[in-house]
Formats: sequence, C-alpha cells, structure tokens
Amino acid sequence: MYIYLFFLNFIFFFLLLILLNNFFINKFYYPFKILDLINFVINIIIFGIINFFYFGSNFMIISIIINFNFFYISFHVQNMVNTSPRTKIILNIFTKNKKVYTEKNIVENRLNRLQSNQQIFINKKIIHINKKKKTLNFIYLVFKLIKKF
Amino acid sequence: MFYLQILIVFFLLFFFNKTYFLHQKKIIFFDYLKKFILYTFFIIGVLYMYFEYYYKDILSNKNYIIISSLIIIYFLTFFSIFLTISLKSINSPTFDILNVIKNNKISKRRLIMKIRKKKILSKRIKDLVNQNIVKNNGKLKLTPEGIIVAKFFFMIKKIFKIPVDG
Repeated sequence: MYIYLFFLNFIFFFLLLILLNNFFINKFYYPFKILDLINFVINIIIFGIINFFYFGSNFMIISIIINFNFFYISFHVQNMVNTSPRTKIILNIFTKNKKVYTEKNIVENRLNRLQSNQQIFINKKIIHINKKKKTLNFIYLVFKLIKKF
Repeated sequence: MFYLQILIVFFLLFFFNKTYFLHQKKIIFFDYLKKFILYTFFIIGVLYMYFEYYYKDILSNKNYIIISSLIIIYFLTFFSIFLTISLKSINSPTFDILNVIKNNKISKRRLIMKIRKKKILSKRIKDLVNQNIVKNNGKLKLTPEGIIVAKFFFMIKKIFKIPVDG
C-alpha cells in the first residue's frame, strides 16, 4: 500500500508539474518558479493528509521530505537545462547548433536573468546588487556551503 | 526513534560524500554512481545481518512500511545530492559573477573580461571529456553515454518547454 502511494505521489507530482508548465505562464520568485512552488504545496497538502490518515503523523513528515526531494530534483533538472553551460554544450552538439557560445553569452544571460528578477540593477553602466532583495546573499551562502559540504 | 532513523539515513549519505572526496577533489559522475551502489549494497548487507542476528522481529511485516519509506528517502536524497555535488568541483558561473560584483563596483564590459579569464567554457569542455560524455578530436562529439545524457536533457527541454540559454 505504502509503495503504491509513493508511486502515485511521484506520478501526480510530475504530471501536475507538466500540466502547470504547459498551460500557465510561469513567473519567478527568484530562484524558483512560482508554479513549481504551487505544485510542491499542493502535493504536500494532498499526500501529507493521505499519509497522516493512513499511516500516522510520522509518515506526514516523511511525505514532506519526499515531496521536498521531488521539488528540489525537478527544480534542479529544469535549472540545469535552462542555465548550465555544460548542458548547453551537450545540447548544442546534439542538435548540431552552430551558434557561437562564449563566456560573454554566459555573463550576459546571467545578468539579464538577475536584472529581470530585480536582484541587480545597472546604473551608468555599473552593476549594483539590489540590497532590498536578500536572495542573492542567500544563494551566495548556499554555494559556499556546498563547497564545504 | 523515528527522527533518529531519518537522521541516520542523512548521516549515511553525508558519510559517503565525505569518504568519496577524501582522496579526490573532482567528481566523475559514473564513478560516483558506481561507488554509491557498492556502498549501498554494503550498508544493506551489514544492517540486514545485524538485524537478522539481534532483532529478528524488526524485519517483520510490521516494520516493512518504515523500512521502505527510509529506503525511498535514502535514494531520493542521494539523487538531490548527486545533482548538486558537481558545484563542489566546478564553480557555478553565477557564483563567479557574484564573487566579482559583491565587493566591486564594476561595469558589464570589465565583468565579462574578468570572467573570460576564468576560462569557464574550456574548463567545462575538459570536464565533459573527463566524464566521458564528449570526445574532443579537434571537433566536439558526443560519446554513446553522452548521447543518452543529451537525449534526457532534450526530453526535459521539450516536456517543460524550457529555453536552453546556458
């Protein structure tokens, strides 16, 4: 029974994610997509409650951990396809894309993303970090933690 | 006891990572996966023998649900770590950019020049060759493993309609 419920959770999580991504315009709550967050919350509510009633409160916690992993994995894989230079290189070779891809593209893409999410702004050609937004500091800290871990 | 069991699962994964990076700084994905599978078999074997000998009733049907949920958490958390771990050996370009702009007032042109010096692309191509995903014989070509990886990313791109910006 528990294994079936896990597979149901897995299928429901990714099907709903595909549906949401295909039928609604996605906005960012940097660095996450809002629809991904909504999907995560819906799954926690549905499967948290089912686990609670069938197996008890401990399994509600397990359900949250499992759905958090689903959320992180889906976020990371999508992010890799969208932003990772290694994925870009692999897909460029695979699709025989001859467009030149340089460090300049890498920097410009990132600056555009950070600007459109209001994490930075450019004033008189100088790049400034938007101090009202704390997300960049948090991301910087996460990168440093990964290095230590 | 329940929370302790979950903590043990996380500790086992943490221990594996620490041990893997004890003798090497860079990660080779296929090698990392292979060693993880061996490590998992070893852990399962040790735990099975321990419980079989001391607490035979623990392996009964009653605990089947708890054990299977812990195994699921173990593999999912490993996969989450697996996706993140490459940042340990290669800096994310965003991290490099943040490192430069965090404490300096810098123009876009100078930032590009600074990042260019870090040779982000050539480091990554070298890494892909080391991972046996790409062959570099003057011209870049995917290996059979690389084609599988590329097909996976291409499928994700199509399903979620994600632009590949890089």
